[in-house]
Amino acid sequence: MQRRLVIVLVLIVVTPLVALAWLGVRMARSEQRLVRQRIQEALIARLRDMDARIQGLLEQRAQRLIELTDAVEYRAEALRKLVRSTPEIDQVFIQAPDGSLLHPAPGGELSQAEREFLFRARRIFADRVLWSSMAEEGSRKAPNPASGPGLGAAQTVTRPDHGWYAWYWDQGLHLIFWRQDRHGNLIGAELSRERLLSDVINELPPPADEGSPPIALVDSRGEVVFQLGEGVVDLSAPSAVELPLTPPLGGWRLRQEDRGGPAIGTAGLLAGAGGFLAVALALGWLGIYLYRESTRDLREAAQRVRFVNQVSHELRTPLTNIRLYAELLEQQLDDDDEHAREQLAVIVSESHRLSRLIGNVLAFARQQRGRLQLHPKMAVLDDTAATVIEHFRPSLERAGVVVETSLAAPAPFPFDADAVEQVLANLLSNVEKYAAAGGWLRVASSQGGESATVTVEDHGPGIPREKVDAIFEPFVRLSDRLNEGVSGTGIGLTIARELARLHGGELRLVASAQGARFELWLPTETGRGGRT
Amino acid sequence: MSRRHTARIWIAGTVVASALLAAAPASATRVHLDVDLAQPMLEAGADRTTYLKIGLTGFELGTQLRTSVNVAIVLDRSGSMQGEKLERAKEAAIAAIDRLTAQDIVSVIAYDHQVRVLVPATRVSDTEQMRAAIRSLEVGGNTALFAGVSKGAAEVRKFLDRHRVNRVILLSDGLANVGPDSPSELGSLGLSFKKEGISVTTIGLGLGYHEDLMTRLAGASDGNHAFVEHPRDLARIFDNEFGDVLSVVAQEVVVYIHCPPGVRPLRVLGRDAEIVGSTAVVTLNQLYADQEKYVLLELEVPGGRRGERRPLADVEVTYANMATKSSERVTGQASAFFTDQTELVRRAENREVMVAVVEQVATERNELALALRDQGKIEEAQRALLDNASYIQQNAVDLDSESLSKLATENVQQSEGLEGADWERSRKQMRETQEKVKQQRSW
Repeated sequence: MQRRLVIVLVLIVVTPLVALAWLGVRMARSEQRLVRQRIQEALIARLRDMDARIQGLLEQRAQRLIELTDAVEYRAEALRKLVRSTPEIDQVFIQAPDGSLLHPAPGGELSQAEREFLFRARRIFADRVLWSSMAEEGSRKAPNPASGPGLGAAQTVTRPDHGWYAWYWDQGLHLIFWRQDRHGNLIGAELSRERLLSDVINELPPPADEGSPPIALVDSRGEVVFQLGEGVVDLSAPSAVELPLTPPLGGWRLRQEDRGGPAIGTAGLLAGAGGFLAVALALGWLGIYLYRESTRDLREAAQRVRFVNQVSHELRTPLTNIRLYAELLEQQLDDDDEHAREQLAVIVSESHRLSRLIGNVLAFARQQRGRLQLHPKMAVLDDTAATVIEHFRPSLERAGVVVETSLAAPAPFPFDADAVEQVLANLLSNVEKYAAAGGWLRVASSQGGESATVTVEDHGPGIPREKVDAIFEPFVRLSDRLNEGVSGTGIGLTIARELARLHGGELRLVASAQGARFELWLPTETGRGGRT
Repeated sequence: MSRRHTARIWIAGTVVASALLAAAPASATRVHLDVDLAQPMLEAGADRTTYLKIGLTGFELGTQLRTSVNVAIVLDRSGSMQGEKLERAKEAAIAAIDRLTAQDIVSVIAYDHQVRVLVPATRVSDTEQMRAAIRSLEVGGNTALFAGVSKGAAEVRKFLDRHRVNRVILLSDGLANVGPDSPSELGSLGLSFKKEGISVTTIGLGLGYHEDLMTRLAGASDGNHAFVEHPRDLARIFDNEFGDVLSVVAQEVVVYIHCPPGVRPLRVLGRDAEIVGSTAVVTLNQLYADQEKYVLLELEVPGGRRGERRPLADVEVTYANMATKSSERVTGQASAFFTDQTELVRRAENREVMVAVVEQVATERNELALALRDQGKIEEAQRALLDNASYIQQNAVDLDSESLSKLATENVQQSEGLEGADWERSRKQMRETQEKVKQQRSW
């Protein structure tokens, strides 16, 4: 019983702890996932903000180029002066609606830079690439002209009057700005790639915090052209947040390595472990408390037995003397002195009862120490049973119990008569204590080839089914209600069964229609085992 | 010698050049323009080429107030700057700031793989705070040169003013390894800066920097370039550079050269120029007090008749005068006299123009020799340098020029440093000298 209790209590303590640990790990993981997701969102938001800044820069540039090209005279010298004095551009050009170049005019006198420009841009002008780009942009914006980038918002036609063209040559992405003048000509400029990059770099905000991995601006060649923040940019890092810039700079991208959220730090780990430990301690304490609570009765009873055991040893000698002299006195009394004889019978009976109790206590103590031993001798079971019945008859009859006997085990066999007497006395004592209200007791014995049986039944309140297993445990009494006014140590049945089993027999409660029915079964010849 | 020459020209009755001042009350605060032909007298008959030199000399500052400056000092703090380099650079920057006053604006930028503005563009008043910011500088990682220069220019741009000297001074000791790193890209960036009046002076420290990139950036933006091998020389170089910066007298200098029909401008030696048909345009960011900068144009002149005098070029120079805070214009003219006397042609040769021509041609040849060496053709490069040296030396004797003699000696020395451990240093010296000649750096 004790071991089962310990197992249950250990389970009570360990199960929630395991569950708690599992939940804790799961929560930490999902927390980390969440944190990671948040971080990624924050990273992307930051990159978007940068993209928006760069977009703003391009819009400013477009506005400035509109103003400049608006103001310039369409003369070669004026256009060249515009190039000389505008840091953002490398070249300007004017293409007529029929596709011919008005500036730089291929047939005219050109500077070295203009000749180079015409050569590298020959496809753009020959294939009227900018015109198709304008048409494309127009059709893209056509469904919702109002939603286009704010510059030409006031226009009523769906075809935009200016735009960007992303042009790839040599060192990568170059931008061409174009706008259509009121005569339908396209006037445009080739932006200085290096200047644009330089301005983009200056447009980006300083790094937000020192610890985060650097943000890199990667160009169309896949090279890092700029980085914000400390540390080495690793383009081969597997996990990174990337954002291509909004067209026309779609060939460039912003990139930030995602080194994962801050791992749950030592502090967090310590806090988690601390919490776990606290719960474990509380549960452990609770387990121990429950264990102690549930075994307190046991311990108290055991203490009582120990005490009674010590006292019993002291009581046995005076009690034996009392019995001896009471029995001597009984023999010496006159037969006609009925009153004195009755009173003396009570003394004898009560002293028997007392010595039985003491016998129980001592037997239990011996059993606890593993020193309970039998001394079997040839005897007749019916004799033993009759002795016990005769002992109890006076008090039972006083209590109004009709005693029926049916003894049929006359053959002698070896058993410890004292022990069997003790078993039967315990059973009858229980009837006297708990089942006297039934008013009826029957003791019957029988004997077969290999065994002998004594049954003791009453018409008392009986034993509830769920308590059937418990009654043989020490210190179990059925209920306080039943116990009222009745004293007992709670070890009688325990000792009785133990003594039966030492004989290699058994004491069990068998089913009966009314009251309780105990059966003591003893082997007579073979199969005798039992402990010694 | 010079006087004798001039006298002869005068006797020959050739008007070489005249500086015409447009409605000028006094010439003391004006840029002085010289327009000279290498050969004021040309042999009659066949087509020939000659050189036109347009010399622009800044006026003396005298006791006048100097021009305010707006300078960004951009310092390399990459790992290789560790130790004496960074310490000397800090000292030099602090010493330079000490030369500035409350009328000036300064900013200090440091870069490694990223860029930090140590001192945002601000008036020079609380220099103690600036010093502290510079002293706190420590070495970091890589070299994001492009971003560093960009940020320097951005700081200058905050106070961009045509009446101030707008300049970025870039110090680097290593190869740019974050961002654009080719000479052509940095040249393109420099050109863009030049258009808004910002020059970048580049100072290469030690033997690890990329001299082609640094010279292109300086050349394209009309700034100076210097090679400083030992950190201890940094202070002197900064001092020289600030001497230039603090003596700017004119900015936004545009030189227009118009040739009459038939005369063809072929090329401008040593400077970027825009040549369209018979017109050449050269822009300079600034002129310094008492220093001559020149534009040397090679011209193709159709053959003339004996005794004919023909105008070859009209020169117009516009600039912003820093002393008077006004835009000004000076003009000049060059014409040649055709003769059949070879001796006259030889004797009339303008010595000063010829020195400039030899300097520039020798520089082009020096660049070719360097290109040969880069291809691994060490012997050919050596021969080219020695040939160049003897070409310069011959002219040094003929023209009695000390500066050419010095240049010849340098070419000989360079021919000996094409191999082994010396090459790194030699190459940087060659690039520095080339750039110095092309820009006519005075120090």
